Amino acid sequence: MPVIEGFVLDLSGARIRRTDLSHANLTGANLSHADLTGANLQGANLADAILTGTILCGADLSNVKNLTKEQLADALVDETTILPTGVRAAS
Amino acid sequence: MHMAARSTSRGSVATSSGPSDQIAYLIQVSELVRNYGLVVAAAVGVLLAWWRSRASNRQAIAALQQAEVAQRNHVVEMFNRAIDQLGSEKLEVRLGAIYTLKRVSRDPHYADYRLPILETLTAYVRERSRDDTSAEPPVDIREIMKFLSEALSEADRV
Repeated sequence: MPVIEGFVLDLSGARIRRTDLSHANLTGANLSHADLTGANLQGANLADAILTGTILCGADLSNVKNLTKEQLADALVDETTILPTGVRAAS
Repeated sequence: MHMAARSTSRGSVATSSGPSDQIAYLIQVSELVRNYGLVVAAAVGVLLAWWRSRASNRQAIAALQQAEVAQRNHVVEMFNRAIDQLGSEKLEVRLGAIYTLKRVSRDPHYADYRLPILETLTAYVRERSRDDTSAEPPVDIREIMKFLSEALSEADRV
């Protein structure tokens, strides 16, 4: 269900490094192949967000909501990515 | 003779009370007519005042509607100009356009512009940042991202 009626955030392929999306509701957002290196996503809601090929190196994902293992497996993360408690990157 | 004169005098007194009653009656009638006249005049006055106030109310409403249409046209013009300015080579012109669009989208009177503005600015980020290799996006992209982040957080709080 879109956050703003009729609006689904589509930032596919965007290079938005170190951007601040903390506490944003990114439900259903298309972030595929976006470069979110070093981005702040603390507390963001990632329900049904498309993270295929999304670069999340150095991104802060602490306290994100509704992030699934499948979403994380599709994204590019490294040891500098801060993951929510209890979530581990697929090896 | 004397008696006759007295009786005549009495007779004349008796006949003179008739016209005075008539005069009093006429005075009463004229007062009544005057009072009714005043009531009618007052009613007409009230009616005229109401009609005038209704007419001036209509004028005020028409003026208000005209002002709203003028304001809306101004916003349409601002929106169109800002969209044009997003394509400018100058960063400051693009930034001005972004601030204008942000302001319009936050105005509750122009809620119908919110969605096109969000879509336009998101498309701007996608297209303009695609080839960016800097460690941090330029100020125009950062400004839009800040706006998008706020808009999506606001929506989440509602």
